[in-house]
Amino acid sequence: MVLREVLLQHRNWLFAFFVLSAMPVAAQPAAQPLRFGAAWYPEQWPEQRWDADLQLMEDAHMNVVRVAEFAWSTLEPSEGHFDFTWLDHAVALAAKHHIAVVLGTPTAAPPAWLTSKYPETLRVNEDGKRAEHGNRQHFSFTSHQYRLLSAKIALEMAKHFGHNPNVIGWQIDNELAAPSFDPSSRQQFHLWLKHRYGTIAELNRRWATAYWSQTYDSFDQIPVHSKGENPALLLDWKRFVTDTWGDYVANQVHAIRPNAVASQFITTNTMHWFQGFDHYMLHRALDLAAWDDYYPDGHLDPTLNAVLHDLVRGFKQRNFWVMETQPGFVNWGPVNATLPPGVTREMAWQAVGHGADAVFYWQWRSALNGQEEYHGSVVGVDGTPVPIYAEIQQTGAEFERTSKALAGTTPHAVVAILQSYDSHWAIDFQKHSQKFDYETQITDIYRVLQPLAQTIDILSPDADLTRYKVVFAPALNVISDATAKNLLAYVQQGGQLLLGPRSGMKDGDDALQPERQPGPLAVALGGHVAQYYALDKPVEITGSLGSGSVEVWAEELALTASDAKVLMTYAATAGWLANKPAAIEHKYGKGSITYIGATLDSGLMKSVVFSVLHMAGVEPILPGVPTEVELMERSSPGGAKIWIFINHGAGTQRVETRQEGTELLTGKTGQSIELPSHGVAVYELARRP
Amino acid sequence: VRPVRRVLVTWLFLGALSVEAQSSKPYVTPNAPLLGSAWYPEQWPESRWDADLALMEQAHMNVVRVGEFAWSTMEPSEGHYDLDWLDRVITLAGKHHLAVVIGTPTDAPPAWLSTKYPDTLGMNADGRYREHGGRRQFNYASPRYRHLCALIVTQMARRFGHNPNIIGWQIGNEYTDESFDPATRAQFQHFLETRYKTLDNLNRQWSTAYWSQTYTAWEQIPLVNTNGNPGLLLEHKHFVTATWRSLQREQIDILRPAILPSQFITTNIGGLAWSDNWDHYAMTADLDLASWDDYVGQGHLQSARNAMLNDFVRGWRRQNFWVMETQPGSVNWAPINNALAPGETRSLAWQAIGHGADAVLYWQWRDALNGQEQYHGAIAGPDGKPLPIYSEIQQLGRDLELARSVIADTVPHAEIAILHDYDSRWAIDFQPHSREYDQQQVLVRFYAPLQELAHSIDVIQPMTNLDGYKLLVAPSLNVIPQYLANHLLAWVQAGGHLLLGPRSGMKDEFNSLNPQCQPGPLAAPLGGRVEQYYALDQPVSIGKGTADIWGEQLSAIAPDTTVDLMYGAGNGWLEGKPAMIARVIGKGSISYLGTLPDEAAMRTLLTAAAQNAHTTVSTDSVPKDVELCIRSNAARTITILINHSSSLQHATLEGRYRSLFPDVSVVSNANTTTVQLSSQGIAVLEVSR
Repeated sequence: MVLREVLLQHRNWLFAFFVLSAMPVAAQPAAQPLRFGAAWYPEQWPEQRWDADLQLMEDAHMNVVRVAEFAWSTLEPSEGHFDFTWLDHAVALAAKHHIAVVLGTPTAAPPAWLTSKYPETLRVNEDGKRAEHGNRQHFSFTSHQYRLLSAKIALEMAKHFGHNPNVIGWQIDNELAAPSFDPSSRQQFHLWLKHRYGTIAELNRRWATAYWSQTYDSFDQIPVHSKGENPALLLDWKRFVTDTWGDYVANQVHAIRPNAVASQFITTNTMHWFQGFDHYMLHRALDLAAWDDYYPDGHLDPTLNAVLHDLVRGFKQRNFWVMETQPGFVNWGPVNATLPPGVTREMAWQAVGHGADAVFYWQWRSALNGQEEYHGSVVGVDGTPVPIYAEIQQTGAEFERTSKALAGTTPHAVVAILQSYDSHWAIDFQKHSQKFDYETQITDIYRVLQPLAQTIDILSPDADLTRYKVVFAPALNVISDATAKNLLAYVQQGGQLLLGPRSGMKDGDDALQPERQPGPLAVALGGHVAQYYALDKPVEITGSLGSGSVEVWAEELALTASDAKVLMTYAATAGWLANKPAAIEHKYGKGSITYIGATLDSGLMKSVVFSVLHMAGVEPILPGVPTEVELMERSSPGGAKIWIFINHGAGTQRVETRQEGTELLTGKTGQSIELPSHGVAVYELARRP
Repeated sequence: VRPVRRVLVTWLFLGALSVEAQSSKPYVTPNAPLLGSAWYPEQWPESRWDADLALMEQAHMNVVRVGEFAWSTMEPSEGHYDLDWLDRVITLAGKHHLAVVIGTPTDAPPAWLSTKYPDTLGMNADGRYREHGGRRQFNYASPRYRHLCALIVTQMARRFGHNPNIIGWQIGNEYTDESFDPATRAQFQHFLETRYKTLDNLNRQWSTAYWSQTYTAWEQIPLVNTNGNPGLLLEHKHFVTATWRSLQREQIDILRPAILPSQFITTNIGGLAWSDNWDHYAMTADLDLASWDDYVGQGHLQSARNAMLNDFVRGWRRQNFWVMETQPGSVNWAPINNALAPGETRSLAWQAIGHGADAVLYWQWRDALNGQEQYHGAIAGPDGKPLPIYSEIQQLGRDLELARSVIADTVPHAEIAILHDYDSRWAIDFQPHSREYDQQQVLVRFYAPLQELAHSIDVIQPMTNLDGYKLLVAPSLNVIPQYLANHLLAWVQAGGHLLLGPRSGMKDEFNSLNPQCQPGPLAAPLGGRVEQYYALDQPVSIGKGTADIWGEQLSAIAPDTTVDLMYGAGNGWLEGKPAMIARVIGKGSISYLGTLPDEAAMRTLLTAAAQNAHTTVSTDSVPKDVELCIRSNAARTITILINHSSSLQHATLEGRYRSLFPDVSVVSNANTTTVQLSSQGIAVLEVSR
């Protein structure tokens, strides 16, 4: 029945992404233990070896393993002939070692028979070159035939393993990434545009195609490109890619969900800032967000890593999994240096602190041949532990010890940073200054905010914002009507909204907002941007919050409401910007909007953020934590609070908790905790009587 | 021309990977060392030729290379040959006492050929066909192209094969570009089928369960040179080697029966000898003589590097060689094409001779008035008159007239060899893991101190007769299959001392990981192994020095395996762990060094290794900037001193010597001789009798 649905779906492709929001999802899982494991590829090894691998995993306190994600050629050796026996054995053997299984659908690696028989399923690169067998991810994401074949394998796997008690979840595909530029994609892009705009005249109007005589007479004239085109086309291409990947995932969700017990979650593993599609949209069809956390140069950036964890937690606004991380080092950077001793453990605990409920290493053991022979692994070529094993084992033991206390807990934030794919894309299409980096805008705010607020949510601008005292929106370049409505409602009800430079320049079609920045928020702000400037050297700035300098970007602001307030002014030496407002603030409803038109230096940024938080009554969870130490809080309604402390610095640090509690890793009580470099403490606060 | 369906199997597979020399007798260059240049009479009116040849003769040149790109002049239209002009060229050269090396013109097919037979055009890896207007547009695997080559070569062989003024033949020019067209792909698949016999075997050796790469038909296997399975990439290199070799073999098979036995057959190898497009040992095995194109490009002569490259070239056939091209001052293809300083061009030539070159030819005599290389250094200017470099080359000509009688028929001899192996080169370059790991620089780090110790070093491939060497140093012998391990062990048992450098023994002949841990099949004899490798982004301390780029944690397992060096601080994983281990085996020993020590530490370590191996250590006192080379035969020993600096230097040698150059000051006492070398000065010395 499901397959017939899938077939029907492909007769009317566009149907699929309309039903995403109505898709069945797994029941919100009950409090789960912390999971700790690795990606394991039993299909690469003789079966008599499996038990030794699983025993070593169990010895490392691993309780989950991810299998099968690239095993299509082993699962379906020839078309329609499925062989699940080996996987049955692997799942059963894992159970014997108290190791649960996450099954991957193998669609990131179509077998050779498939692409030879159905060459139209092969991806075409933007330069027109068709991908071929021998690598992975060489399929076209719009290919009907590929959808049929991938639904079929997913369905067969679900029918076979959907009720296996040792299978706890599903991962669809792997690191969805490359779009295809084949004729099928072109045709579907045109269909997608037709659906969005209705008539070609409407598209021409909203894309302003009279410019350069771009005017289209019909949808099929529209080129398919990801760069160098009309900004509206580029943004729509990204949305089309998003919808197509959403539909690609839904195709398999539809095959799995009706055949799997409700407790089995469905996820996919994504990649940090990856800009190929809108991750908020993609996760609508999924139960759980999961991501792959890597530092190819072997140097953990704890702030960036915190940002990325919070970003992923924001995909579904709930706890997430780290589906892959490096056991020491990777193989794809310029110099694949290893994380120093202790940092692999530090990363695992930072993930948990930010809401991860599972950490998996990639990979357990390297295949003897294949493109990733040099990737870090937990056991070596000979199948015995490599040096990192001991650190992973220690981390596993710690996860086991704290699992009960952490089950069902999650971070709770009262401040949020808005992260918008549309804005990120719109800026990247037209950077105007090569130094303007959207990700840096987010991390710069985060860096300043983190010690002051300690828990931060990173969210889509369309998320429900009512619970937040302060919302930061750096470089919110694209503000659609719906987003404007959401933000205005938030402010009216008492929220504090702080907009950063380049905000509100574009509408939902990536067209310029005719009201000037910040577009639909200009009236509420009581001011607007009179002109923007890319800076090639810093400019001085002063105001009630202090003095400093700005670089990269500066906007001249102008007041339109008499009760709007100037917070900062450019110095008299600033040329076009001399003595002009750089930041303004305006009360609106029960809240207020602040617009900061320049990229502030960190000192000034700190003053601004401190002032805003102070006004909004946001206090740190625990004051006086040393700068090198990160505090992360997880809690559950009615349960105890857990504080995870990590010393990211090089020296030893001491933390005073000021509250009774127990450090769970050592079992020690007492309010003073000493943390060596890379040290971790998991402090369970005593419940108040 | 009828399409020729040669049986590809014979030329592709017969001994394609064997490096056994086809001609057993070493070629001895008469009247060595020769001096000459490349000359293109077809680019000039015949009335000019005599003036050019007279200028060559005045520069004491005695060889000229012609014909290599002249196909369109030799065969202006299909089947119409005009070789009369070339006959006149050879005769005229003879009048000026210039011997001729004649090139087959198959590196530059004429326009009529590419137009009439577009199937002879090669396809680049990006899927685009090459076209006429550059050179090397041909498809090296095309049977039709090879047939067309055979026709012109046959004509040339008939016409010139018995011309006494021709001393040798050069096939093509700097074999470079492979082809990725469908026909070549089919040949590659056939090559694999011949090599692996069954797909099961190939799937196993390539671990294709990884990423579902599993092949179920030979036709599914792609032809790629990047991002493929490491096993596939290695086989592509083998295929490229076999294909070029068969192209060359076809011309040899036409020439050899038709030409005088005294005429040698060579090809000039480009890529600064170091390019790894194909296996140079295999390619030169079928030739009488190895020759290469020695260019500095940007910057100045790096003496150790260029010394190593000359020794590397000598190692291809383990015989003296030719420098078929070198720069008269400057080139045109570097980012900045600076000229060599006065004296450096002469030093470069003498260095080559010191390392076994029996001829030095400049590229080129005079620049064509149009064409892609107008800016290349030349000896005569666009007006046909000598350029400033002419007098330096003329001085070299005078040098050679003074030294020729004693240098001819001498060769360098070494007790120490550095092992270089293409499978290892390729395997590391496919997966460098650190971009800092430059194999040439790694090799020079071992070579330079060894050269200081012993003056003469061989660079050879390991699967060759190793008798006569006392010490073998293998800087990055990444691929060690069982057969190579056996070969090396037999030599060690008999008294050889083998020093393996980092990354050794990781892979087998299929580029698959050796499951024993490094150094693979040598781990058991070594009684120790690599526990983990690390790409280093900062130096670590070892003993009294430092090491960088790569660090392996070693362990000594056998009780008689000694730890010779330990890591100190700098990397938490390596600190306190063995960096070098060694074990006595039979009458010899194996040592394993897991990192790249700095210059001083490397010198200390290699000095100890040389002493341990009882190699002859030079007692001559030679300043750092002065290079000492020795060529000898049963009758005499010639010492060449090259001052690579621009200051006055003195070298003191054991024994009594006479200088062959009247302007070089030599002072001897009872047992020693002191030589004074001016800036960029050269001394050629013979032991006084």
